[in-house]
Parts: sequence; C-alpha cells; structure tokens
Amino acid sequence: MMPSPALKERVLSAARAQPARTRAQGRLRAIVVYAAALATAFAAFEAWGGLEHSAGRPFAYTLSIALGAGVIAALATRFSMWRGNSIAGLPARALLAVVLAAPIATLVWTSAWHGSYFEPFTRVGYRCLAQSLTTGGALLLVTLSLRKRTHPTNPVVVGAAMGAVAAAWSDIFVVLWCPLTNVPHAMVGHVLPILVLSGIGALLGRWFLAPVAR
Amino acid sequence: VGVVSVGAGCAEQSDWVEAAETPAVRDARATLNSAMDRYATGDEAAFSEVYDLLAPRLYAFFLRQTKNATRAEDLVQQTLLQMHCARDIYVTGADVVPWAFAIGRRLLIDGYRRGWREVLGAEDLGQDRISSEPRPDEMVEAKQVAASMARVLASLPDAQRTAFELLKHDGLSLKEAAEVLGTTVNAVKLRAHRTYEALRAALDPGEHKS
Repeated sequence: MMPSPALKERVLSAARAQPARTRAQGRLRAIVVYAAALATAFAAFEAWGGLEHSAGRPFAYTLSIALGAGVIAALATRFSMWRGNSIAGLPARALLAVVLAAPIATLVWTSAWHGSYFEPFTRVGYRCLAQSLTTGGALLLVTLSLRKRTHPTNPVVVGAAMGAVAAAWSDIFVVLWCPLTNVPHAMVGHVLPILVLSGIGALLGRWFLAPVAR
Repeated sequence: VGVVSVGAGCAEQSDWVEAAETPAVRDARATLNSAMDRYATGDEAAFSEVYDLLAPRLYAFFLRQTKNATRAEDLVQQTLLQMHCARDIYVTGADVVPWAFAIGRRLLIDGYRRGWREVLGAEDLGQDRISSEPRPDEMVEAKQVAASMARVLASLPDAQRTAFELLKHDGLSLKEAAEVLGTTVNAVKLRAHRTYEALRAALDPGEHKS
C-alpha cells in the first residue's frame, strides 16, 4: 500500500512554506524564555519582600529548606519532563506518580522542619499560595508555550505534571520568603499550589499540548 | 520486527514475545533516525528521506483506520507536517517511528472527535485493492475469517485494538507500541494478549474452551 506519488511533493512544498525552528534555534529560544521567567520570578520575589521576610528563621534553615525544595523540583522535572531518547512520550503512570509524589514530598519536607525553630508569626498561608500561583503559573504558561503541540500521548497528564513541576520550582522562592513550616500552613501555602497548578496544567494540556490537524 | 504468540494451547501459557529484529529493520530504523537528526539540525534535504522511509508505513496505518485513501493521505501529510514543525524537539538517537505513529494516532483521535466517520467504499481503496484472484472457496473462507476478526476487533476497547494492530499490522516493537500509546511495555503485552485471546475464542471457540 503506497500513497500517491503526488503526495510527496505536496508534503515537501507544505513544509517549505511553513518555516520551522531547528534544534539549535529551539534550544536558544528555551534558554532565553526560561532565563526571562527566572528573572521575572526573582523580581517578584524581591517585590514581595525577599529574604527579609523570612529573617525570623535561622538563615541556614531557610537555605536547607530551599535546597530540599530544589531537589524535589529537580526530581519532578527529571521524571516527567526529560524525554531521554524517547520523544513520543512517557507512560501515564510515570507522569501521574510525579503529580502525586510532588505535593506529598513537599508536605513531608516542609513540615519536617516544624518545631526545630521558633516560628515568628502565624499565618494561614494565603500569601504563599498567591505567590506560588503567580510565579508557578507564569512558569507553567512558559513551559506550555514551549511544548505546544508536541505531546501526542497523554497530553492531559503531561499538562498536570508540568503544573506540578512549575509549582515545585516556584516553591523554592516561596520557602526562601516564608518562615513557616507548620502542617496547616504548609498544606495551604505550599501543597495547595501544586494541586491547583496540576489541575490547571491538566486543563490547558488538553488544549495546548496535543497536536491538532491544521 | 514481528510479534508472534507462543504457548501450549491454553491462555495461561500464552504470551507475547518479540521476534528478533532483522538487520534490515535495524538498518532502516537507523537510517530514518539519522535522517530526522539531520533534518532537526537544519539539513532541509533530509526531510525527503524521512518522507520516503515513513510515509508508506503511515499510509498503511491510516488507510486501515479510516478506510479512505484520500483521508489517509491527508493524515500522512498532517503527521509529517507536525513532525516538521516540532523538529526542534527531536533528540539525537530517539526513535522516529513511535513518535510519528503517536502523532498520527492523536490526529486520528482528534479527527474522530470532530465527527468524521468513514465507511469502507469500493472506490476508496482504489489501487490498494488486492489484485490477485484467489479460488472462490478460499475467498469465501478468507472473507468469513476477515469478517469475524473485524467484528471481534471492533468490539474491543480502542486501546486494546490499537495495541494489537500496531504490533501485528504496523510491525512496531513492544517498546515502540508502548511509546505510541503512552503506556508501559507490560501494558501493551497484556492488551495484545487479550486481543489475541478474544480473536482465538471467536475464530476457534472449540479449541479455546478446551
């Protein structure tokens, strides 16, 4: 079974008419976009008060908590976003594992520090939630735009995993800013954003990540 | 790469194992991956090579799924254009075939969601119709078997049917089929095995019961 000979010319001329980025151009674009996102996140962090806001907690603790949050974010990225030598897509189970593990790991890691120092004040966690949703939301949108129409398998779950990863990275800024680690606060301010952004990622993933007929 | 079913005649002992990859298949895959890699780095001429190596397989896949030659060609074009637009994400050494089939399958799903349903018409297959003329009794038997298989396959869940077809008809390996379906190799094995059992039960109910 062979397609008609005319199809080849149609495909090649359609490709010629539609310029596409090369791999080097794609990498450069990703670097520029993520660098801009990082700079914006840092500016937002400073605007919210920066490290001054968590001055009530020993700095070494703040740094350690942020380091742990970084490890969680890096692992979530590695297991859900890294394509390795497979570009078709990762199994849904692996992606779901990241979506479930990221909030659990964040809760366990953050609340493990509770009681090891005197928490300077009490807050529900709405400001942490807002900060995380803002920074993580922007990161999620950036990632979705970079990966637009390139996930033919499980786009909803991929979107959810992207949301979890974006929230996990934004949590680094949040824990550098927030000196609280008690469980109720961690649930609202640090875990809830991961769940919310996973949900948003799932919704947007369905529309943005899957290839569609042109 | 072919997939064969081995077993001692009972469901419990049957399992899906992959036939060893022939050098020709390995070479074809390496050539395709290399062509796509060159295309990703900006070698525009390599896309013609990608087309030559991929289009016939995609066309066969789409023709079987849509039963419409025009739509199958349209889907081949759409799939290759998606690959063209996403060439910047191609990773050196990655398998192109599962990627292409995964895109193709997504476009099919997208199309079905948009509401197109095709029925097989004699004119649709055109030049792809079987040209050799078998004996009448062979033809009747073959038609009956094909009809039974089509009925059983149509009654199966999409994921199960597609896993079986990717392995049996499109010649994908278990790993490749797993990538296309976004699942694990074990899940593909299980789906294909269930399909095989359903087909066996339908085509030879007596043996299946024993």
